[in-house]
Amino acid sequence: MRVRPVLTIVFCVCGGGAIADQAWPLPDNPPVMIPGGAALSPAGEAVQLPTFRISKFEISNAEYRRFVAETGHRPSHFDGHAEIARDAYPVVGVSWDDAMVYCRHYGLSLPTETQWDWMARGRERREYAWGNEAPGADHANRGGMACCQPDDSDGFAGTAPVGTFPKGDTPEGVSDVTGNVWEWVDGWYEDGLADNAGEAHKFRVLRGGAWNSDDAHLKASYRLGYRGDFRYAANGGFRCVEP
Amino acid sequence: MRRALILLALLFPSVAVADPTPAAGWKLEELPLGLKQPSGLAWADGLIVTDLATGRVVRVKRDGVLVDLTKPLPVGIDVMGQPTGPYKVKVFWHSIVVSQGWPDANAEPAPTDHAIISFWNSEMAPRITSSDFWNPYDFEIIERPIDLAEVIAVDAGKNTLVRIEGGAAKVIYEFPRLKREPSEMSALSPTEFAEGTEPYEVDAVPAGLAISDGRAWVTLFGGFPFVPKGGAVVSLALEGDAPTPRTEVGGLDSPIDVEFTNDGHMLILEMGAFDMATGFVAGTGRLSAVDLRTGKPEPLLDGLDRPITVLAAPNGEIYVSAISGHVYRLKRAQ
Repeated sequence: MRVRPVLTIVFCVCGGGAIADQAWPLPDNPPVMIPGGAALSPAGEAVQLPTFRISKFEISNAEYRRFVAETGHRPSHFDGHAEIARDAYPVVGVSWDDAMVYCRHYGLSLPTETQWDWMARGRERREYAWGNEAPGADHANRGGMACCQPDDSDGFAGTAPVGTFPKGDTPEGVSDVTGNVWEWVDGWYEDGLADNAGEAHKFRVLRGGAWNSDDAHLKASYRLGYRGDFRYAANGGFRCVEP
Repeated sequence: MRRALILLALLFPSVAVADPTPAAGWKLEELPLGLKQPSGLAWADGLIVTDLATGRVVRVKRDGVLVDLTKPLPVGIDVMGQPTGPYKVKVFWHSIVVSQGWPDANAEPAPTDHAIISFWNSEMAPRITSSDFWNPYDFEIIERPIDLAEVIAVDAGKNTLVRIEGGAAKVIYEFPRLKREPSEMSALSPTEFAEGTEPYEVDAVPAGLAISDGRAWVTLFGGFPFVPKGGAVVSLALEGDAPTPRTEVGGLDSPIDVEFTNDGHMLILEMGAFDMATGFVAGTGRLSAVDLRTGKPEPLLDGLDRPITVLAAPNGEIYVSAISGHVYRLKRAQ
Protein backbone atom coordinates (compact mmCIF):
# COMPACT_ATOMS: atom_id res chain seq x y z
CA MET A 1 0.00 0.00 0.00
CA ARG A 2 1.39 3.38 -1.00
CA VAL A 3 0.74 6.36 1.21
CA ARG A 4 1.08 9.93 0.06
CA PRO A 5 2.94 11.86 2.75
CA VAL A 6 1.12 15.11 2.19
CA LEU A 7 -2.21 13.48 2.87
CA THR A 8 -0.83 11.86 5.94
CA ILE A 9 0.30 15.16 7.37
CA VAL A 10 -3.06 16.78 6.77
CA PHE A 11 -4.83 13.84 8.32
CA CYS A 12 -2.60 13.98 11.34
CA VAL A 13 -3.20 17.63 12.01
CA CYS A 14 -6.96 17.28 11.79
CA GLY A 15 -7.12 14.12 13.83
CA GLY A 16 -4.73 15.48 16.40
CA GLY A 17 -6.91 18.43 17.19
CA ALA A 18 -9.81 16.22 18.09
CA ILE A 19 -7.67 13.96 20.29
CA ALA A 20 -6.01 16.87 22.02
CA ASP A 21 -9.36 18.03 23.37
CA GLN A 22 -10.03 14.78 25.18
CA ALA A 23 -9.32 14.32 28.89
CA TRP A 24 -6.17 12.54 29.92
CA PRO A 25 -6.17 10.46 33.13
CA LEU A 26 -2.56 10.87 34.32
CA PRO A 27 -2.38 14.31 35.92
CA ASP A 28 1.38 14.40 36.41
CA ASN A 29 2.24 12.79 33.11
CA PRO A 30 0.86 14.83 30.23
CA PRO A 31 0.04 13.27 26.89
CA VAL A 32 2.11 13.85 23.82
CA MET A 33 0.28 13.60 20.53
CA ILE A 34 1.99 11.48 17.93
CA PRO A 35 0.75 12.18 14.43
CA GLY A 36 -0.19 9.02 12.61
CA GLY A 37 1.34 7.86 9.39
CA ALA A 38 2.69 5.00 7.37
CA ALA A 39 4.41 2.88 10.00
CA LEU A 40 5.93 -0.56 9.97
CA SER A 41 4.86 -3.45 12.14
CA PRO A 42 7.53 -5.45 13.98
CA ALA A 43 7.44 -7.90 11.09
CA GLY A 44 8.08 -5.09 8.61
CA GLU A 45 4.59 -4.85 7.19
CA ALA A 46 3.18 -1.45 6.26
CA VAL A 47 0.59 -0.18 8.73
CA GLN A 48 -1.43 3.02 8.48
CA LEU A 49 -1.22 4.16 12.07
CA PRO A 50 -3.81 6.65 13.38
CA THR A 51 -2.77 9.59 15.51
CA PHE A 52 -2.45 8.64 19.16
CA ARG A 53 -1.42 10.10 22.50
CA ILE A 54 1.25 8.66 24.74
CA SER A 55 2.46 9.62 28.21
CA LYS A 56 5.33 12.05 28.03
CA PHE A 57 7.21 10.25 30.81
CA GLU A 58 7.80 6.70 31.87
CA ILE A 59 5.40 5.86 34.69
CA SER A 60 6.96 6.99 37.96
CA ASN A 61 7.06 5.31 41.36
CA ALA A 62 4.68 7.96 42.71
CA GLU A 63 2.19 7.20 39.95
CA TYR A 64 2.50 3.48 40.46
CA ARG A 65 2.06 3.76 44.23
CA ARG A 66 -1.11 5.78 43.65
CA PHE A 67 -2.38 2.97 41.43
CA VAL A 68 -1.51 0.38 44.09
CA ALA A 69 -3.39 2.39 46.70
CA GLU A 70 -6.42 2.70 44.43
CA THR A 71 -6.58 -0.93 43.38
CA GLY A 72 -4.76 -3.10 45.90
CA HIS A 73 -2.56 -4.37 43.09
CA ARG A 74 0.81 -5.72 44.23
CA PRO A 75 3.56 -3.09 44.62
CA SER A 76 6.59 -3.08 42.38
CA HIS A 77 9.26 -5.53 43.43
CA PHE A 78 11.55 -2.67 44.43
CA ASP A 79 8.95 -0.62 46.30
CA GLY A 80 10.69 0.82 49.34
CA HIS A 81 14.19 0.72 47.90
CA ALA A 82 16.19 3.66 49.17
CA GLU A 83 17.14 4.95 45.74
CA ILE A 84 15.29 3.48 42.82
CA ALA A 85 11.87 3.61 44.52
CA ARG A 86 11.97 7.38 44.98
CA ASP A 87 8.84 9.16 43.83
CA ALA A 88 10.15 10.90 40.72
CA TYR A 89 12.03 7.89 39.39
CA PRO A 90 10.53 5.46 36.89
CA VAL A 91 8.89 2.43 38.40
CA VAL A 92 10.79 -0.80 37.80
CA GLY A 93 10.30 -4.33 39.05
CA VAL A 94 6.98 -4.81 37.25
CA SER A 95 5.87 -7.58 34.93
CA TRP A 96 4.19 -7.05 31.57
CA ASP A 97 0.85 -7.84 33.19
CA ASP A 98 1.48 -5.37 36.01
CA ALA A 99 2.18 -2.70 33.42
CA MET A 100 -0.87 -3.48 31.30
CA VAL A 101 -3.18 -3.59 34.33
CA TYR A 102 -1.85 -0.20 35.38
CA CYS A 103 -2.57 1.35 31.99
CA ARG A 104 -6.01 -0.23 31.71
CA HIS A 105 -6.95 1.03 35.16
CA TYR A 106 -6.74 4.52 33.67
CA GLY A 107 -8.47 3.60 30.43
CA LEU A 108 -5.14 3.41 28.61
CA SER A 109 -2.98 0.60 27.28
CA LEU A 110 0.61 -0.31 26.73
CA PRO A 111 1.67 0.99 23.34
CA THR A 112 1.66 -1.59 20.62
CA GLU A 113 5.12 -2.31 19.36
CA THR A 114 4.21 -0.52 16.15
CA GLN A 115 3.08 2.56 18.06
CA TRP A 116 6.20 2.55 20.19
CA ASP A 117 8.46 2.17 17.18
CA TRP A 118 6.69 4.97 15.32
CA MET A 119 6.84 7.25 18.35
CA ALA A 120 10.55 6.55 18.90
CA ARG A 121 11.79 6.54 15.30
CA GLY A 122 9.30 8.57 13.34
CA ARG A 123 8.85 8.38 9.61
CA GLU A 124 12.57 9.01 9.15
CA ARG A 125 13.40 5.82 11.08
CA ARG A 126 15.74 7.55 13.52
CA GLU A 127 18.39 5.48 15.26
CA TYR A 128 17.68 7.11 18.61
CA ALA A 129 14.77 9.11 19.94
CA TRP A 130 16.39 12.45 19.07
CA GLY A 131 17.92 11.50 15.77
CA ASN A 132 20.93 9.64 14.48
CA GLU A 133 23.57 11.37 16.58
CA ALA A 134 25.31 8.91 18.89
CA PRO A 135 24.16 9.13 22.51
CA GLY A 136 26.03 11.71 24.54
CA ALA A 137 25.99 12.22 28.29
CA ASP A 138 23.22 14.82 27.98
CA HIS A 139 21.01 12.76 25.68
CA ALA A 140 20.02 9.92 27.92
CA ASN A 141 20.61 8.00 31.11
CA ARG A 142 22.70 5.28 29.59
CA GLY A 143 25.22 2.60 30.48
CA GLY A 144 28.86 2.12 29.70
CA MET A 145 30.31 1.49 26.29
CA ALA A 146 30.39 -2.24 26.92
CA CYS A 147 27.25 -4.16 27.71
CA CYS A 148 25.73 -4.13 30.29
CA GLN A 149 27.26 -2.18 33.08
CA PRO A 150 26.08 0.97 34.82
CA ASP A 151 27.83 4.22 34.06
CA ASP A 152 27.54 7.46 35.98
CA SER A 153 29.17 9.78 33.44
CA ASP A 154 25.65 11.05 32.69
CA GLY A 155 25.14 11.72 36.39
CA PHE A 156 23.28 8.54 37.23
CA ALA A 157 24.62 5.07 37.91
CA GLY A 158 21.08 3.70 38.09
CA THR A 159 17.67 5.10 37.18
CA ALA A 160 17.19 8.87 36.91
CA PRO A 161 14.12 11.00 37.64
CA VAL A 162 11.82 10.98 34.63
CA GLY A 163 12.41 13.89 32.28
CA THR A 164 16.00 14.55 33.34
CA PHE A 165 17.36 14.53 29.77
CA PRO A 166 15.19 16.87 27.65
CA LYS A 167 17.83 17.02 24.93
CA GLY A 168 17.03 13.40 24.25
CA ASP A 169 13.30 13.94 23.73
CA THR A 170 11.68 12.88 20.50
CA PRO A 171 10.76 15.72 18.12
CA GLU A 172 7.21 15.51 19.50
CA GLY A 173 8.51 15.80 23.08
CA VAL A 174 8.36 12.29 24.52
CA SER A 175 11.03 11.93 27.22
CA ASP A 176 13.44 9.13 28.11
CA VAL A 177 12.47 7.01 25.13
CA THR A 178 16.14 6.16 24.79
CA GLY A 179 17.66 4.97 28.05
CA ASN A 180 16.64 5.23 31.70
CA VAL A 181 14.47 2.07 31.69
CA TRP A 182 13.40 -0.47 29.11
CA GLU A 183 9.71 -0.15 28.27
CA TRP A 184 7.25 -3.02 27.99
CA VAL A 185 5.16 -2.85 24.81
CA ASP A 186 2.04 -4.68 23.71
CA GLY A 187 3.16 -7.42 21.38
CA TRP A 188 4.97 -10.71 21.14
CA TYR A 189 8.63 -11.11 20.42
CA GLU A 190 8.02 -13.97 18.03
CA ASP A 191 5.74 -11.82 15.86
CA GLY A 192 8.64 -9.57 14.99
CA LEU A 193 11.03 -12.24 13.83
CA ALA A 194 11.92 -12.18 10.18
CA ASP A 195 11.06 -15.84 9.91
CA ASN A 196 9.04 -16.83 12.90
CA ALA A 197 8.01 -20.11 11.30
CA GLY A 198 4.82 -20.06 13.31
CA GLU A 199 6.63 -19.96 16.61
CA ALA A 200 4.42 -20.03 19.67
CA HIS A 201 4.14 -16.87 21.73
CA LYS A 202 6.47 -17.12 24.70
CA PHE A 203 8.20 -13.79 25.07
CA ARG A 204 7.09 -10.20 25.36
CA VAL A 205 9.09 -7.23 24.11
CA LEU A 206 10.83 -4.28 25.74
CA ARG A 207 12.23 -1.36 23.80
CA GLY A 208 14.43 1.69 24.25
CA GLY A 209 17.37 0.58 26.39
CA ALA A 210 18.12 1.55 29.95
CA TRP A 211 20.59 3.06 32.36
CA ASN A 212 22.97 0.14 31.85
CA SER A 213 22.68 -0.14 28.06
CA ASP A 214 25.44 0.34 25.53
CA ASP A 215 24.86 2.06 22.18
CA ALA A 216 23.67 -1.09 20.46
CA HIS A 217 21.00 -1.77 23.07
CA LEU A 218 20.01 1.89 23.12
CA LYS A 219 19.09 1.86 19.46
CA ALA A 220 15.38 2.43 19.01
CA SER A 221 15.18 -0.55 16.69
CA TYR A 222 16.52 -3.02 19.26
CA ARG A 223 13.93 -5.55 20.41
CA LEU A 224 14.55 -7.12 23.79
CA GLY A 225 12.61 -10.33 24.26
CA TYR A 226 11.74 -11.44 27.79
CA ARG A 227 9.27 -13.57 29.66
CA GLY A 228 6.32 -11.33 30.40
CA ASP A 229 5.88 -12.61 33.94
CA PHE A 230 9.39 -11.57 34.92
CA ARG A 231 9.26 -8.75 37.46
CA TYR A 232 12.70 -8.75 39.04
CA ALA A 233 14.43 -6.30 36.73
CA ALA A 234 15.70 -3.02 38.12
CA ASN A 235 15.69 -1.47 34.68
CA GLY A 236 12.34 -2.45 33.19
CA GLY A 237 9.38 -0.03 33.25
CA PHE A 238 6.71 1.27 30.88
CA ARG A 239 4.56 4.13 29.68
CA CYS A 240 0.94 4.20 28.55
CA VAL A 241 -0.88 5.13 25.39
CA GLU A 242 -4.44 6.03 24.61
CA PRO A 243 -5.79 2.97 22.82
CA MET B 1 25.80 -8.66 24.50
CA ARG B 2 23.73 -9.78 27.38
CA ARG B 3 22.05 -9.02 30.62
CA ALA B 4 20.40 -6.06 28.97
CA LEU B 5 17.62 -6.34 31.46
CA ILE B 6 19.39 -5.98 34.76
CA LEU B 7 18.16 -8.57 37.07
CA LEU B 8 18.54 -7.67 40.66
CA ALA B 9 16.22 -9.70 42.62
CA LEU B 10 14.96 -11.95 45.29
CA LEU B 11 12.01 -13.11 47.22
CA PHE B 12 8.44 -12.44 47.93
CA PRO B 13 6.68 -15.63 46.98
CA SER B 14 4.10 -16.54 49.52
CA VAL B 15 2.83 -19.98 48.74
CA ALA B 16 1.36 -22.23 51.35
CA VAL B 17 3.87 -24.94 52.08
CA ALA B 18 4.14 -27.91 54.37
CA ASP B 19 6.25 -27.72 57.50
CA PRO B 20 9.96 -28.36 57.11
CA THR B 21 11.06 -31.92 57.60
CA PRO B 22 13.99 -32.82 59.87
CA ALA B 23 16.30 -35.73 59.18
CA ALA B 24 15.91 -38.92 61.12
CA GLY B 25 17.30 -38.57 64.62
CA TRP B 26 16.41 -34.90 64.86
CA LYS B 27 13.42 -33.18 66.41
CA LEU B 28 12.10 -29.88 65.02
CA GLU B 29 10.27 -27.17 66.93
CA GLU B 30 9.12 -23.75 65.79
CA LEU B 31 9.55 -20.90 68.25
CA PRO B 32 6.38 -18.74 68.30
CA LEU B 33 8.20 -15.41 68.43
CA GLY B 34 5.82 -13.38 66.30
CA LEU B 35 8.63 -11.76 64.30
CA LYS B 36 7.71 -11.08 60.69
CA GLN B 37 11.13 -11.40 59.07
CA PRO B 38 13.57 -12.90 61.57
CA SER B 39 17.12 -12.76 60.29
CA GLY B 40 20.24 -12.63 62.49
CA LEU B 41 20.74 -15.16 65.27
CA ALA B 42 23.19 -15.17 68.18
CA TRP B 43 23.55 -16.94 71.48
CA ALA B 44 24.41 -15.39 74.84
CA ASP B 45 22.74 -17.35 77.62
CA GLY B 46 19.76 -17.52 75.34
CA LEU B 47 18.72 -16.72 71.83
CA ILE B 48 19.06 -13.26 70.27
CA VAL B 49 17.19 -12.49 67.05
CA THR B 50 16.97 -9.56 64.64
CA ASP B 51 13.88 -8.73 62.61
CA LEU B 52 14.17 -7.16 59.15
CA ALA B 53 10.52 -6.13 59.18
CA THR B 54 10.68 -4.00 62.31
CA GLY B 55 14.39 -3.41 62.90
CA ARG B 56 14.14 -4.98 66.35
CA VAL B 57 17.03 -6.78 68.03
CA VAL B 58 15.57 -8.93 70.79
CA ARG B 59 16.53 -11.46 73.41
CA VAL B 60 14.18 -14.40 73.81
CA LYS B 61 13.59 -15.02 77.50
CA ARG B 62 12.94 -18.53 78.75
CA ASP B 63 9.25 -17.80 78.98
CA GLY B 64 9.26 -16.69 75.33
CA VAL B 65 8.92 -13.00 76.10
CA LEU B 66 10.98 -10.75 73.81
CA VAL B 67 13.20 -8.08 75.35
CA ASP B 68 14.51 -5.35 73.09
CA LEU B 69 18.28 -4.96 73.24
CA THR B 70 18.44 -1.84 71.08
CA LYS B 71 16.10 0.76 69.77
CA PRO B 72 14.56 -0.35 66.47
CA LEU B 73 17.02 0.03 63.62
CA PRO B 74 16.20 1.31 60.14
CA VAL B 75 14.82 -1.19 57.66
CA GLY B 76 14.26 -1.04 53.93
CA ILE B 77 14.71 -2.89 50.68
CA ASP B 78 18.14 -3.66 49.32
CA VAL B 79 19.41 -3.45 45.77
CA MET B 80 18.11 -6.96 45.12
CA GLY B 81 14.66 -6.27 46.44
CA GLN B 82 15.40 -8.17 49.62
CA PRO B 83 14.51 -6.78 53.03
CA THR B 84 17.41 -5.01 54.63
CA GLY B 85 18.12 -3.75 58.13
CA PRO B 86 19.80 -5.54 61.03
CA TYR B 87 21.04 -8.54 59.04
CA LYS B 88 23.22 -10.30 61.59
CA VAL B 89 23.98 -10.00 65.27
CA LYS B 90 26.84 -11.10 67.51
CA VAL B 91 27.58 -10.68 71.19
CA PHE B 92 31.09 -9.61 72.12
CA TRP B 93 31.70 -9.22 75.83
CA HIS B 94 28.78 -7.06 76.85
CA SER B 95 28.20 -5.46 73.49
CA ILE B 96 25.56 -6.25 70.91
CA VAL B 97 27.14 -5.96 67.46
CA VAL B 98 24.94 -5.72 64.36
CA SER B 99 25.57 -5.59 60.64
CA GLN B 100 23.13 -3.05 59.33
CA GLY B 101 21.84 -2.58 55.78
CA TRP B 102 20.05 0.29 54.12
CA PRO B 103 17.09 2.37 55.30
CA ASP B 104 13.74 2.77 53.60
CA ALA B 105 13.12 4.89 50.51
CA ASN B 106 13.14 8.64 51.12
CA ALA B 107 14.81 8.19 54.55
CA GLU B 108 17.50 10.65 55.53
CA PRO B 109 21.02 9.14 55.43
CA ALA B 110 22.25 8.06 58.83
CA PRO B 111 25.67 7.02 60.19
CA THR B 112 24.28 3.56 60.86
CA ASP B 113 23.47 2.94 57.19
CA HIS B 114 25.42 0.02 55.64
CA ALA B 115 27.56 -0.26 58.75
CA ILE B 116 28.69 -2.59 61.49
CA ILE B 117 27.55 -1.02 64.73
CA SER B 118 27.64 -1.92 68.42
CA PHE B 119 25.57 -1.14 71.48
CA TRP B 120 26.38 -1.23 75.16
CA ASN B 121 22.73 -1.15 76.10
CA SER B 122 19.35 -0.31 74.64
CA GLU B 123 19.41 3.33 75.69
CA MET B 124 22.74 4.36 74.24
CA ALA B 125 23.44 5.50 70.71
CA PRO B 126 25.27 2.96 68.61
CA ARG B 127 29.00 3.05 68.13
CA ILE B 128 30.03 2.82 64.48
CA THR B 129 32.67 0.16 63.97
CA SER B 130 32.77 0.83 60.24
CA SER B 131 30.45 2.08 57.53
CA ASP B 132 32.97 1.47 54.78
CA PHE B 133 30.61 -0.93 52.97
CA TRP B 134 28.01 -1.17 50.30
CA ASN B 135 26.27 -4.09 51.92
CA PRO B 136 27.87 -5.58 55.07
CA TYR B 137 25.86 -8.73 55.08
CA ASP B 138 27.72 -10.91 57.58
CA PHE B 139 30.66 -10.63 59.93
CA GLU B 140 32.65 -12.43 62.58
CA ILE B 141 34.57 -11.15 65.57
CA ILE B 142 37.87 -12.83 66.35
CA GLU B 143 39.15 -12.36 69.86
CA ARG B 144 42.81 -11.37 69.97
CA PRO B 145 45.00 -11.27 73.08
CA ILE B 146 46.47 -7.85 72.40
CA ASP B 147 44.15 -6.13 69.98
CA LEU B 148 41.12 -7.41 71.85
CA ALA B 149 39.15 -8.09 68.72
CA GLU B 150 39.34 -8.23 64.97
CA VAL B 151 36.30 -7.88 62.76
CA ILE B 152 36.13 -9.82 59.49
CA ALA B 153 33.18 -9.12 57.22
CA VAL B 154 31.76 -9.82 53.80
CA ASP B 155 30.50 -6.98 51.64
CA ALA B 156 27.85 -8.56 49.44
CA GLY B 157 27.69 -5.40 47.33
CA LYS B 158 31.38 -5.07 46.63
CA ASN B 159 31.92 -8.83 46.49
CA THR B 160 34.72 -8.64 49.01
CA LEU B 161 36.00 -10.22 52.20
CA VAL B 162 37.38 -7.46 54.40
CA ARG B 163 39.16 -6.83 57.68
CA ILE B 164 38.17 -3.73 59.67
CA GLU B 165 41.18 -1.60 60.55
CA GLY B 166 40.65 1.77 62.16
CA GLY B 167 37.14 2.01 60.76
CA ALA B 168 38.22 1.20 57.21
CA ALA B 169 37.39 -2.00 55.38
CA LYS B 170 40.68 -3.43 54.11
CA VAL B 171 40.12 -5.91 51.33
CA ILE B 172 41.42 -9.39 52.02
CA TYR B 173 39.99 -10.79 48.82
CA GLU B 174 37.70 -9.63 46.04
CA PHE B 175 35.69 -12.49 44.64
CA PRO B 176 35.72 -12.64 40.84
CA ARG B 177 32.56 -12.88 38.85
CA LEU B 178 31.16 -16.34 38.18
CA LYS B 179 30.61 -17.74 34.71
CA ARG B 180 27.22 -19.02 33.64
CA GLU B 181 26.16 -20.81 30.48
CA PRO B 182 23.55 -19.07 28.28
CA SER B 183 21.60 -22.32 28.08
CA GLU B 184 20.76 -21.89 31.75
CA MET B 185 18.86 -18.70 30.92
CA SER B 186 17.48 -19.08 27.44
CA ALA B 187 13.99 -19.67 28.81
CA LEU B 188 14.04 -16.14 30.21
CA SER B 189 15.15 -14.19 27.19
CA PRO B 190 15.86 -15.34 23.64
CA THR B 191 17.76 -12.17 22.81
CA GLU B 192 20.06 -11.93 25.80
CA PHE B 193 20.77 -15.57 26.49
CA ALA B 194 20.79 -17.18 23.08
CA GLU B 195 21.99 -20.75 22.84
CA GLY B 196 25.49 -21.18 21.55
CA THR B 197 26.84 -17.80 22.57
CA GLU B 198 29.66 -17.21 25.00
CA PRO B 199 29.18 -17.62 28.78
CA TYR B 200 28.07 -14.61 30.72
CA GLU B 201 29.12 -13.56 34.18
CA VAL B 202 27.34 -12.80 37.42
CA ASP B 203 28.54 -11.35 40.70
CA ALA B 204 29.79 -13.90 43.22
CA VAL B 205 27.77 -12.23 46.02
CA PRO B 206 29.50 -13.46 49.19
CA ALA B 207 26.83 -13.88 51.84
CA GLY B 208 27.36 -16.11 54.87
CA LEU B 209 30.65 -16.06 56.77
CA ALA B 210 32.23 -18.30 59.40
CA ILE B 211 35.76 -18.41 60.78
CA SER B 212 37.36 -21.74 61.57
CA ASP B 213 40.87 -23.10 61.67
CA GLY B 214 42.41 -19.78 60.61
CA ARG B 215 40.29 -19.63 57.49
CA ALA B 216 37.29 -17.65 56.39
CA TRP B 217 34.47 -19.83 55.07
CA VAL B 218 32.18 -17.94 52.74
CA THR B 219 29.01 -18.86 50.90
CA LEU B 220 28.95 -17.60 47.33
CA PHE B 221 25.28 -16.98 46.73
CA GLY B 222 25.83 -15.98 43.11
CA GLY B 223 24.06 -13.10 41.41
CA PHE B 224 20.98 -13.35 39.28
CA PRO B 225 19.81 -15.67 37.65
CA PHE B 226 20.37 -17.92 40.68
CA VAL B 227 20.72 -20.94 38.46
CA PRO B 228 20.17 -24.38 40.02
CA LYS B 229 23.24 -25.67 41.83
CA GLY B 230 25.12 -22.46 41.02
CA GLY B 231 26.36 -21.61 44.53
CA ALA B 232 29.30 -22.81 46.60
CA VAL B 233 31.11 -22.60 49.92
CA VAL B 234 34.73 -21.56 49.60
CA SER B 235 37.41 -21.03 52.21
CA LEU B 236 40.56 -18.94 52.25
CA ALA B 237 43.34 -18.34 54.71
CA LEU B 238 43.09 -15.15 56.72
CA GLU B 239 46.84 -14.71 56.92
CA GLY B 240 49.23 -14.35 54.02
CA ASP B 241 49.63 -11.93 51.15
CA ALA B 242 47.68 -13.62 48.40
CA PRO B 243 44.86 -15.76 49.70
CA THR B 244 43.49 -18.26 47.23
CA PRO B 245 39.94 -19.49 47.70
CA ARG B 246 39.42 -23.20 47.89
CA THR B 247 36.04 -24.58 46.89
CA GLU B 248 34.81 -26.72 49.77
CA VAL B 249 31.31 -27.58 48.59
CA GLY B 250 29.82 -26.74 45.20
CA GLY B 251 26.50 -27.36 43.51
CA LEU B 252 24.43 -25.46 46.07
CA ASP B 253 21.11 -23.67 45.58
CA SER B 254 21.72 -20.06 46.66
CA PRO B 255 23.75 -20.78 49.83
CA ILE B 256 23.04 -18.01 52.29
CA ASP B 257 24.87 -19.03 55.47
CA VAL B 258 27.57 -21.27 56.88
CA GLU B 259 28.28 -22.23 60.47
CA PHE B 260 30.43 -24.68 62.42
CA THR B 261 29.37 -26.99 65.22
CA ASN B 262 31.51 -28.07 68.11
CA ASP B 263 31.56 -31.65 66.87
CA GLY B 264 33.36 -31.00 63.61
CA HIS B 265 30.50 -30.37 61.23
CA MET B 266 29.98 -27.50 58.85
CA LEU B 267 26.36 -26.43 58.49
CA ILE B 268 25.29 -25.00 55.13
CA LEU B 269 22.00 -23.19 54.69
CA GLU B 270 20.58 -22.89 51.16
CA MET B 271 17.82 -20.42 50.37
CA GLY B 272 16.56 -22.80 47.70
CA ALA B 273 15.34 -22.79 44.12
CA PHE B 274 14.51 -19.63 42.20
CA ASP B 275 11.56 -19.26 39.84
CA MET B 276 11.65 -16.50 37.25
CA ALA B 277 8.03 -15.54 37.83
CA THR B 278 7.64 -15.92 41.57
CA GLY B 279 11.11 -15.63 43.12
CA PHE B 280 12.48 -18.09 45.62
CA VAL B 281 10.24 -21.09 45.86
CA ALA B 282 8.75 -21.81 49.25
CA GLY B 283 9.69 -25.22 50.59
CA THR B 284 12.94 -25.61 48.67
CA GLY B 285 15.36 -24.24 51.27
CA ARG B 286 17.47 -26.73 53.15
CA LEU B 287 20.02 -27.16 55.91
CA SER B 288 22.83 -29.65 55.46
CA ALA B 289 25.70 -30.81 57.62
CA VAL B 290 29.10 -31.64 56.16
CA ASP B 291 31.43 -33.88 58.15
CA LEU B 292 34.76 -32.13 57.67
CA ARG B 293 36.62 -35.37 58.18
CA THR B 294 34.87 -37.07 55.26
CA GLY B 295 33.55 -34.13 53.25
CA LYS B 296 30.21 -35.87 53.04
CA PRO B 297 27.10 -33.63 53.18
CA GLU B 298 23.94 -34.88 54.81
CA PRO B 299 20.56 -33.14 54.89
CA LEU B 300 19.36 -32.05 58.31
CA LEU B 301 16.27 -30.06 57.45
CA ASP B 302 14.34 -29.84 54.19
CA GLY B 303 11.36 -27.83 53.02
CA LEU B 304 12.31 -24.41 54.34
CA ASP B 305 10.81 -21.19 53.01
CA ARG B 306 13.55 -18.61 52.46
CA PRO B 307 15.85 -19.50 55.34
CA ILE B 308 18.51 -16.91 56.03
CA THR B 309 20.63 -17.69 59.12
CA VAL B 310 21.81 -20.82 60.91
CA LEU B 311 23.21 -20.81 64.43
CA ALA B 312 24.89 -23.67 66.27
CA ALA B 313 24.26 -23.03 69.96
CA PRO B 314 26.81 -24.17 72.55
CA ASN B 315 24.32 -26.69 73.93
CA GLY B 316 24.19 -28.57 70.62
CA GLU B 317 20.90 -27.14 69.47
CA ILE B 318 20.69 -25.67 65.98
CA TYR B 319 18.55 -22.64 65.19
CA VAL B 320 17.39 -21.54 61.76
CA SER B 321 15.65 -18.29 60.90
CA ALA B 322 13.60 -17.77 57.77
CA ILE B 323 12.42 -14.41 56.50
CA SER B 324 9.10 -16.04 55.73
CA GLY B 325 8.50 -15.48 59.46
CA HIS B 326 9.87 -18.53 61.21
CA VAL B 327 12.52 -19.44 63.77
CA TYR B 328 13.16 -23.16 64.17
CA ARG B 329 15.07 -25.18 66.75
CA LEU B 330 16.60 -28.54 65.89
CA LYS B 331 17.52 -30.92 68.67
CA ARG B 332 18.87 -34.40 68.69
CA ALA B 333 15.94 -36.73 69.28
CA GLN B 334 16.28 -38.49 72.62
